Amino acid sequence: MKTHLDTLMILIIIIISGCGGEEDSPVSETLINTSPVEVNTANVTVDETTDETTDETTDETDNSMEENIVTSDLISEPDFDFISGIDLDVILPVSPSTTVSYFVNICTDFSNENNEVKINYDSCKLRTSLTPQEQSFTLSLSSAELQLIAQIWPIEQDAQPINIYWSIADSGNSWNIAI
Amino acid sequence: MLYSKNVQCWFYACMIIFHSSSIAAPFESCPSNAFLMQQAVAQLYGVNLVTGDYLLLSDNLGTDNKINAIGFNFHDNYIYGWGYEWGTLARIGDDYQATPITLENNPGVNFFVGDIALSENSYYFYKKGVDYGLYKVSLNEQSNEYLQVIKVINGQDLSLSIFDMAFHPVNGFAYTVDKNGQLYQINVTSGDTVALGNIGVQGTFGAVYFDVEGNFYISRNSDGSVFIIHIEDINPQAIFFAYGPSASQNDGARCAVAPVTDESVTATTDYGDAPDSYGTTLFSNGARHGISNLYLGSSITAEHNAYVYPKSDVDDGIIFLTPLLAGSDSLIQVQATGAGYLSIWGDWNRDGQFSSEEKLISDKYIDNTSEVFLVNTPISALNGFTWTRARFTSITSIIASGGVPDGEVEDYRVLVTNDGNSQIQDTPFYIAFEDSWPEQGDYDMNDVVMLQNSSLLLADSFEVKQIEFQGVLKALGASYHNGFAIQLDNILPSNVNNDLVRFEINGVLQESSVIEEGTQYLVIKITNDLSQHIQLTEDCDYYRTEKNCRNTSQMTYNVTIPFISPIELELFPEAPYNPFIFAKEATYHGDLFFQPGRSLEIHLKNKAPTSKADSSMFGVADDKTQLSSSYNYQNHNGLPWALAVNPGSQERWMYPREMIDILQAYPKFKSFVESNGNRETSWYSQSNAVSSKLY
Repeated sequence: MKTHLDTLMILIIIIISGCGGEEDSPVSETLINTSPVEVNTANVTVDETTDETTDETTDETDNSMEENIVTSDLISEPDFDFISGIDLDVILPVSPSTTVSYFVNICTDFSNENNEVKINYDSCKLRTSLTPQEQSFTLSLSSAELQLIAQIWPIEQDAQPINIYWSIADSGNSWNIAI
Repeated sequence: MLYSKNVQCWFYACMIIFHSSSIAAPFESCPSNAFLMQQAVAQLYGVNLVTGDYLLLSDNLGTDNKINAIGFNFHDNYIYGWGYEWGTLARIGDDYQATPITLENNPGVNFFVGDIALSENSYYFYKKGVDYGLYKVSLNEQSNEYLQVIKVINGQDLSLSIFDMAFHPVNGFAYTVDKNGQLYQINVTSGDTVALGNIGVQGTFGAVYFDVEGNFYISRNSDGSVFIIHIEDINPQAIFFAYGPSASQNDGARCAVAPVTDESVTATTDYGDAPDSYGTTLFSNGARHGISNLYLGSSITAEHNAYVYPKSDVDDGIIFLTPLLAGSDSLIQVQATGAGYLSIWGDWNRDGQFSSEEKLISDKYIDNTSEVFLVNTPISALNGFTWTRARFTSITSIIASGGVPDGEVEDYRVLVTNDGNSQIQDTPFYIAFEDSWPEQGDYDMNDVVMLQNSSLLLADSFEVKQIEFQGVLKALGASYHNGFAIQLDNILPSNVNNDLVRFEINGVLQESSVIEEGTQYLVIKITNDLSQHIQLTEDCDYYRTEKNCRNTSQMTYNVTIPFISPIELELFPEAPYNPFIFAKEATYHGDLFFQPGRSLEIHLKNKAPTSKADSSMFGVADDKTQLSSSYNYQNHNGLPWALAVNPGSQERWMYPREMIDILQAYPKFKSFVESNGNRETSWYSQSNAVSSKLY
């Protein structure tokens, strides 16, 4: 809630703008790159700022709007909580060894470049050890998270992982991981 | 004869000075680096005191002997020192060539202790012994005493076993440390000396310096260790500062009015980014490395000073493939460029510091490779997120703070659990509020926007033993003062293990309790007033909601809540839990209630108010809450005052700009709402936004 003075000022500005006869055309924002600046030494970057506010709007998307519809005109059911998401049922396999521990990371942010899997481990939804019994979990995902990776590591020197993938298009809302 | 000899001396002196001034120009400026003179045939080095990194400036200063007792002359930007080849003072300009200067009343021996005062253009030099002492020679051409040696005090009356001295930038005193670690203050006018106490280290401190802040640095010949001393302390102690060059013979000079970091030139130092309690910034003698071809990962960043959490630099050398499992092996992946030694510290007791015992890896040699290996975390490590620090350098046995000449430091926030535990990370939610409740707002949904991450730690019995929250304030488009809290519905506050609760704002441990007292269910109260944690920029009324109003200040929080009795996962509330804002006490929050204080709460639609909410406020104005039906915080159209948006971990939600209705920014929100969430479930994605309407 803004102050009444703010509201009044906005109204005045709108009125004055209207008198000018120009449409309120969208203004494309300038993307300001404040990521680290390369200096002449190879592989050395100079941090100038890490302020993340600079990811402001970029290109104008020309979406057509229904005129004069505002949020206050909308109607929803009393029990609708405005939250969207997906629940994914995951069943983890039995640990393949009784002498070596196995650990699994199930993550949403990953890429596969030149046969090398890169995972943002901050995106992992589940991190746990495999046990002698199957384990089942329910993971909450965003509607935008359509793929997952399960990376299973033996806890041993020079370990190599097993990578298994899930996509909602192929597997729906359940994932029985088998190794 | 005497007259003619004096004339002859002056002639040669003038010739020397004229000759030197016609060849060697002074240094261009007062440099931040220190000068270090070493070796039996003088060699001059430039030393970065911040990291100990050094560079040979000249191995040919035009002499075949030592130059010692050097000082940087603030008055003319030349270096002066005692030239052993000539047995007199010598001057060094920007060509690094030493030119002898003839002195009247030259004592006739060589000296290795000396410096140039800042309050007067005079060189002071000292030698212990009854036949010698503390001398002064004016370098001011306008002075009647120009180039005349004057004895200040006899070397028996001022008897110190010292190897260098330096002038303070302000108070006019000279300071030195003897071989036993005794710190002295010398009044060079009277020769009086004050012993300031033992600094706790011993050795031959052949090079000593001041910076503009009055910090005193001493370099030990035997191992190159540079210590910093705060001389104004009641009991000044030497604190290890950096690993510098060692030598059997050292003498140092520095322009005492220069800061140790020159921000006018490109940065050449890498810092960590953990909270400053861990020793991160230069002020805190933080971990720092001179930029070289030795680093972790595939790149290294250079900064003039540390970006302390929640800001960060780019780290890419260490991947924690598993959480650190207390008492068990875990896997990490290390990529190193160049050959060096890796050490990793972990804050196992979560006290905000790395002690020397809190090590994960010590001096592991890695040669230009990427490898996965096992690490063992102490069984005493507390569960939850903590900080680790990795340092990779050519030097062994380093500590978690201080400067080293090469390599890199990378700080990571990592999870510590027990073997058999599971971590479930909730999807990130942007919690966006209109703070006009119970009156309808403008639906720009940016009065408060908080990014909320949360995770559960499960025991092997699938019970919740701990919950962690990490939040970032993204926007504050409110005129009102709002607090922020999270209720865990149906969880009793008495089940919280208060001894192990940890609460940080911007990485700084908070002394105040994060558990609100007197509530029916557990309320985690982050702050009574969000606005107190950010600074508005000039010409901006709000925080990150107005066009062209960027703001670098940040507010983050981290909370760890361990439970005394683990709670069945089935009974535990689900993300986004029950975050809410409330009115700050004794502040205006609209005409309806004027100054309602803590009792005015605004929650997500259909979330329960806390026991501290004033139930008489429900049903007022546009609010149509029916507590009996759990139809809470909604108006007659079923519209909320708060949204929880979860775009996933790969995309950020960009909220509307100031006074922009969310429907204007996200047209598909209409279909989402009117279908009660059955259509356009990704209405919030950037691909569905009118970008010009977003902040």
